[in-house]
Parts: sequence; structure tokens; C-alpha cells
Amino acid sequence: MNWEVIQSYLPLYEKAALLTLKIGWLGIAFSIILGFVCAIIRHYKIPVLHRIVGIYIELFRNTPLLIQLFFLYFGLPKIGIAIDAEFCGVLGLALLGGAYMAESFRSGLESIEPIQTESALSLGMSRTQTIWHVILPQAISSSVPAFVANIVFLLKETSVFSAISLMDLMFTAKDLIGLYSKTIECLAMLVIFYLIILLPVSIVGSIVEKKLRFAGFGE
Amino acid sequence: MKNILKKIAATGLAAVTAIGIIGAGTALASEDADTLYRSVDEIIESGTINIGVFSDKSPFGYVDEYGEYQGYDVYFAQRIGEDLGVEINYVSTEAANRIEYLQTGKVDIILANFTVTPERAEEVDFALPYMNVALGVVSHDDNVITDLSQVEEGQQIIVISGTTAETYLVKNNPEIQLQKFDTYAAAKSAFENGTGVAWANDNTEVIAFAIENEGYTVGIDSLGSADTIAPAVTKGNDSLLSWLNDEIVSLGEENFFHADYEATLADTYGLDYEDTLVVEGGVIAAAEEAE
Amino acid sequence: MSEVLIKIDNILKKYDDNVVLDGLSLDIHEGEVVVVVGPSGCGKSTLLRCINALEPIQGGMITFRGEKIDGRSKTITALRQKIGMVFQSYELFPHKTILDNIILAPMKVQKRSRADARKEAEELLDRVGLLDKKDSFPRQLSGGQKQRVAIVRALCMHPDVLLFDEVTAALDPEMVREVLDVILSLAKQWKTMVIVTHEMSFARAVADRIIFIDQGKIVEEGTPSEFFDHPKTERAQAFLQTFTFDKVEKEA
Repeated sequence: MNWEVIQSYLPLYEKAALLTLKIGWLGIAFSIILGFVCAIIRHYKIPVLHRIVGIYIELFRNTPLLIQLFFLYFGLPKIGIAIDAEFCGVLGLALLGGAYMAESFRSGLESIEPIQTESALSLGMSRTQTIWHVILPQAISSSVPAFVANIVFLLKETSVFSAISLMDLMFTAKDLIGLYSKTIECLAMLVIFYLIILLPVSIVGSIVEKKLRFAGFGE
Repeated sequence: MKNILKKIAATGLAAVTAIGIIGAGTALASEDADTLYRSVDEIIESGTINIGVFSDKSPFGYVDEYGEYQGYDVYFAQRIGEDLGVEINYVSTEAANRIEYLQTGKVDIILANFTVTPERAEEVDFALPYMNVALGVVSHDDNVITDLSQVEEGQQIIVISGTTAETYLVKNNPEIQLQKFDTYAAAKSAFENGTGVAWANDNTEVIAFAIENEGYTVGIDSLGSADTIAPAVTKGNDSLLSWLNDEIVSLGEENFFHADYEATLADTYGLDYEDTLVVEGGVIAAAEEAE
Repeated sequence: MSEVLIKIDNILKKYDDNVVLDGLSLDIHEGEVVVVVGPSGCGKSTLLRCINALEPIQGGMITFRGEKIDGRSKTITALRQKIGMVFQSYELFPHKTILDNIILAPMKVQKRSRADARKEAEELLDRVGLLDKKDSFPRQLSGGQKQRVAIVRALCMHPDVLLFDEVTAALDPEMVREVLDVILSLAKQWKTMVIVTHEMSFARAVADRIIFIDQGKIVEEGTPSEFFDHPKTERAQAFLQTFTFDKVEKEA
């Protein structure tokens, strides 16, 4: 292991990590919002919209991110819509992630038995009040494990960004190896940096999960 | 809290193991390099040779509409196969992994339009050259770049990761923002979409591109040093290296590479470039000694 | 006879082609306790759920003090405040404390102040002996305790009628009594109630009227002594038989 080499590459890796984090988290944030909206639409079967959302979810859960990125980055310009690489990355992640988040969230919603809704309605609560005070808090906390898993998955998916010229961690490592052939150092740094990015997510996820576990499961 | 500590410990252990394996693997590899390349005899005995070529760098290494490999490099590879009496297994490589593939024994020879540089020569062994090349820069007709200083702040030049164009620009023009792609196909597509103001690559490649596509001009047709392209083998593979060198010399006697040019490149470039591009018998027209 | 609070008029309820309630009519009067019994699947739970519009009906009409009960109308939330319901599986909100469970609806639906709702909640909890559990979560309580909280939660909305859907069916026997005692005390206070149950001695003690339903129709009705001691119809007799056992005589 050549420590000087590692030191000289460090700034590039840091830059890549920041890019991965920035695009990763922006994409994840949008995917959560999108997923949330889609889950509600699907669960409550809002007319017309729920079919459209259904198609969107099937499409994006069954195609790889790489293909979606190719379409956005290389395909759209051919019909006159030009978007820059970073926006593409965020959009791709948001669309892919949204589909996964929607399903996670919907199963969280469905795991709250319909009787919870009924018991709230029998007390005279309106549908909106029921959703806001009774259903959502429980659905969110039971979706947390799936959410965390999705977030880790999406962060790892950022490794395909190299296809659209984004210098993420994966591409940086590959590029440096291609230029200077210092394979071990580059790969080692790659592993460490991914750990630095992913580990905190896992840990925070565990903490949040524990805190929310009061949403009692079973008597 | 216990759970979290467990997680950290587990991942830490995994990381150390991973690094350990990579380190040990590479250490072993360099000590015992025999196991990673095949001698000429081993290749002949196995009946197949693995040759790394490009699948998307027309007209040097590419796959045609029938799914067959074609191109200046591939024409040469075919001949190697015939003369050794073995089948050829073409392995599609990316610019950035050509060295890796030799170092890990994934291919016996790299014939992927590989430019000879001193840095690369430290990692692999080059045979005699079969082509001349320099760097070139192509840009859109409405904004032809004839000098790198014309590239403004915020504009990007497209390069492919692992090419000499990339190395050159990183070293000599670090102020220019580079947009890097890992395949020729992606780079070309992005360039056509206009995400970069110019594309820097081998001049042969950009000239071919400008000829085949309307609306582009090669503003800089020779950047950096005049280089050569040669086959490469894993470092230390002396038997294959000397076989290749002998082969290239003897092919020179039948003007093989000129025929190669005419078969694979003439359609693109016409015949004008033939003498400047082709290196016959491993002998470069200039006074420099071949590697 | 006192005022008719709920009028169930010739209702038809079916799931797809399966008819569950078939031209059923029933009046619930203020202050009376009506107990509904019948074999499984006869439609008694469904009847309750139609009363507060958790299930839609396909024919006939249900009214509360003359106002039509319809799940899609804007007034349904107001009507539901007047009709309290307690479920077999208690269905407390697991993510809220006992106290919050009880005061949520009074605050959000009836716009009562937290202090006001709290006071009443605590009084009611005290009366059922659960005041010390007010800050606990549902998962920390036993089944019987949860069911008593569910009753308190329904009471806090000041309903005019209370519906009980087999509320002790899921409880261990020791806990059944504590819940039934609460209901008995409500009966003493002249609360109007419609109770679906399998507990026959309890039914006998608490009911003003017994309604026997079979296959979606009212087959027999009467006072507890009429129904239990002198059932008129064969089906009622057969039903009551299922609760009596002859002493086992071992085979020769």
C-alpha cells in the first residue's frame, strides 16, 4: 500500500463522495415525497390517477436504473429535451426510488388493519382526520425498516452514474486505475468511502426504527 | 447501542478482509506472475487465444450489424489467429480496463487500439507498433475549436476514461473541465447531444467521426506528441511478445498492414492517409527506434 | 313507549349476490337495551355495522331520530358521534397513550379543549378502575383492560346509543366479567344499547328485549324470560339447545 498515492487521491475521492451524497440524497428526498404521494393514491384508489401510478410503479421497478438514465441522458436530447448530467442523476434516482418507496409505504399502510380506520370513523372522525391522526403515524413507523433498506439500495445504485459522466466514487476509482494503475489503493479507498457513506444510514435507521417501535405490534 | 456497535464491528471486519484480500491477491500476483499469462505453447495447446478489442470504436474495433467483429485491429487479430492455428475469442474491453485485463490474465493480447506510453510500458509489455497516432479534437461546425485556449470557463471537453487524450488533458490542461465517459458509444452520443463543446481522442478516431457525420470539424488534428499503437501482452510474457514481434516483421514483408488499411480504413479515410497512418514491419518512418 | 332513536326499516344487505340481511326491520327505543343473538353468520355483526354506516345497505333505510344514515352523506360524521361502537378486537390506537386514545376524538371532532376532555376521560377511567393506566400504551394492557378503555373511549363522545359487537368474544374468561360489569352499570344508567353477544346469562341479565336473528331475518323477539324460558319457534329452540349440555353417559 502506497500511502502517498492514497493521500494524493484523497481530494478526488472526497469530491466524488460529496457528489454521490448530494445527488444521492436529493434523489432520495424526492423519491420519498413521490413514493408517499403514489402510495396514498394507490391505497385509496383515487380514480384515474391510481391506474397511471400503477403503470409508473411497474415500469420503474422492473427496469434497471442504468436503462432509465440512458433514456434520460442520451435519449431525451434526441427529441429536443436537454438535461444536464446531475439533474439526470437526481431525476433517475427519484423516479426509480419513488416506485420502491411507494410500494414500501403502501404495504405499511395496508398492514394497519382496516379496523383501525373503522374504529376512528365510529368515533365520528372524518376520513382526513383518520388518515392524519391514526393511519399515517402507524404506517410511517411500520414502513421505516423498508425505507431504510430502500435508501441504502438507492445510495448503492449511484454507482451506475459513471454511464452519464458523473464522477461518482465508482467512476473515480475506475478512472484513476485506468490512468495510473494503482489498483489496490484505488479499490481500498473505494470500499472505505462507500462504508463511510452507507454505514451511518444503517445506524441511524436502526435508531429510528427502535424509537418508533412503540407503534405496538401485537398485544 | 449494542446493535450499533455490532454493526460497526461487522462492517469494519468486512472492510479489513476485503482490503486484505485485494492486497494479498495483488501481492501474490506480482510474485507469481507465471500463473497470470499464457505462453505461446500454452495458447496453441488450448486451441483458443483471448484478444481484447473494442466493440464500439469504429473503424478500428467494432461489431457490425451481423454481430461480427471488424476493424483495423480486428483484421490483424484474425491473422494472428490463423498463424497460430487457434480460434479467437474476442473480449470487448473499455479503454480504462485494458491494462487490468492483461494484468489479470483475462486476455492474452490487447489489440484495442492501444497507444504506447512510458507509463503504460511500466505495466504491460508492448510489441512492435502497427499504427501511427496523435491526439485530435473534434467540435461542432458552429463552434470549431482550433486551439485549446478557446475553451471557455464552464465548457467541457468530452474524453473517454483511460485514454491518452484524458491523460494529456489532465496533465497539460488541468484548467479545462472534462466530461468523462467509460465507453466510446456513450461519449459519441453525448457529443452529438452537445453536452460538451468538443471531443478529444485519437486523431484517427475523430477524423473518422467527422467524415462519417455531418456538422463536425476536426479543429485540432494533431495534439501532443506523435505516438504509435502497438499490441500489448502481460508483463513478462516473453514467449508471446517475441512471437508477436517476429510476426509483425514477417508481415511487413507482404505489406500486410497496408492491405489491412485498404480493407478496413480506406472506405472511411480514402487512400490519402494510408502512408502516414500505417506502420509496416514495426518500423516507424521517423528516426525513432521502435519499442 | 319512549322515543324511537334508531329505526331500521326493511333493510337489504348483500355482498355481491350473497344476501346477508333480508328485509329486516327493528326499532330501538331510547333507554332500552336490545340484545341480538343468533348462530354464526346470521348477520348480527353486519347489522351493527350497517347502523353506523360502516357497511352500505342496498335496500331499505336506517334513520337516527328521523335523519337518514348514509355513509356518503356529509352529515355522517356528526351522526357517528351520536352512535358509539365498541369492537371485538378493541382497536385502540397503538401509537397513543390510553389517555390520548380517549381524548383524541373529543378534541379533534368535538373541538373540546384538552383540559375539558382530560377531566372527563380521567373520571371515566376512574370509574372503570383504570385511572392508573392513563399514560400507558395499549400494548401494556391486558385484553380486558383494553376493552374497558375502548368502552370509555366511546363514552367520552357522549353518544346517544352504544353498539357492542361481541366485545367479550376474544377475551380470556377471567376478563370477560370485568367488561360485562361495565356494560351492566351502563344499563343501570338507562343508556340505550344494542349488544351482539354469545354470553347468554349476561344477555338475560342485561336485556330489555332479545332479538333472535337467523339467516338475515328476525326469527323471534321477546323479553329475556319469554325467549330463554319459552322460545316459540323451532329455530330459537334449536339455537338455545346448543348452549345446554346433557351430562355425559359413558358407553356400556
